[in-house]
Amino acid sequence: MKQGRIIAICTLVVALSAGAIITQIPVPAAWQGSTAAFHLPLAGYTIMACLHVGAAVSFLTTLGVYKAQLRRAYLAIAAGIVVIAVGTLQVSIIGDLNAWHSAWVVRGGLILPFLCSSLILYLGIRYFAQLVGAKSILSRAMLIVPVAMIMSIAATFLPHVATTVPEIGFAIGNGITAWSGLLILAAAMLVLDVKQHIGVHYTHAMTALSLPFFTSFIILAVQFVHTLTSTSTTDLTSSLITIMAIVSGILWLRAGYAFVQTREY
Amino acid sequence: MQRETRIIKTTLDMVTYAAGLASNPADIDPLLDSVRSITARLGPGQLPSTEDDQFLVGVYLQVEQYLTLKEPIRTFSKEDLRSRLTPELRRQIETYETKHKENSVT
Repeated sequence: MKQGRIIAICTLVVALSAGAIITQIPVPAAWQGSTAAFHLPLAGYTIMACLHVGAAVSFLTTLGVYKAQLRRAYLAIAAGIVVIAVGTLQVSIIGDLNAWHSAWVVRGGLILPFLCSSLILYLGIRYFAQLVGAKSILSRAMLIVPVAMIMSIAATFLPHVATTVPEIGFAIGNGITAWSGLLILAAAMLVLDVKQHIGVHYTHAMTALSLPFFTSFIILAVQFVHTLTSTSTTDLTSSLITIMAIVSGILWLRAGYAFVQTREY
Repeated sequence: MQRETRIIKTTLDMVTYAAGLASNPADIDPLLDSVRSITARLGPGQLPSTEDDQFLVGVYLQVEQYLTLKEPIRTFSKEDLRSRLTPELRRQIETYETKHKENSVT
């Protein structure tokens, strides 16, 4: 119990400190917006990334009491949380540095974390569900993954506002957002299914785990619609997405803490 | 947020506590059917009879065995599981175990 609390408090301190330090970074000469528009999203996503890493650490501290099979599911969940944080943070950094034409972005490195993280998280939760005997259509990866893929491809054909980004890059970005959103939604619903099935000792932790999944889905859904309807990255919706990303980080940390609590019985 | 670590005082609570720790309750559900029939008979605040207590200790031991040997996601030890029980309940379990060991030998 104490360990979980220490991790949560340390994570919050580190996250807020990192966010504060980020605001001291000098604004690049090429930056055309305001200083706040440069610093705030970057600070927000830095806080979010730190919270995600803290949550992953919380999950990893519970490994000792679980059997090898569940450890695999936990490792997948922890890895997915970290990768999603790194992926989101890099977008903010690339945006601030206007590095959209860098080799990393052009060669597809930017989309890699988003492509992987949601799949890792979904497979981790699916494995968890199988271990506790929860049978649901959502745990059938051979169905869910192709459906997510088809819907993601379909999403790339949706009409959108005129943009300076090349069409292929724009379509891939939207497809990846849809892919992540659909797999995260499937994982969130699967968590609720596991919650219905699992013993009472774990139900609080499963509720706590479902919240960051649903929040992440809402963020991705808002991001998806926003990308189709606006090119602005400094409007109210963008700020809302940044705030929701921080909230999702807090919810991940809370979920990690809830799982640390399940060690005791 | 903080989970209350309460001491378990009755045989009924003991079975409920152990059953709640199973990650896949369906596995132990048949064991609990007979416990449900006991709880259905009891009035509000009424404690199980001595006979029911003996029966519930037997059910607890079966659930404990499941948790220590077959639980799919985590490891449990008898000692840890019994650490939240009152000394009186632990004594009842030991008496039950000794009695059944003797019966199986004879």
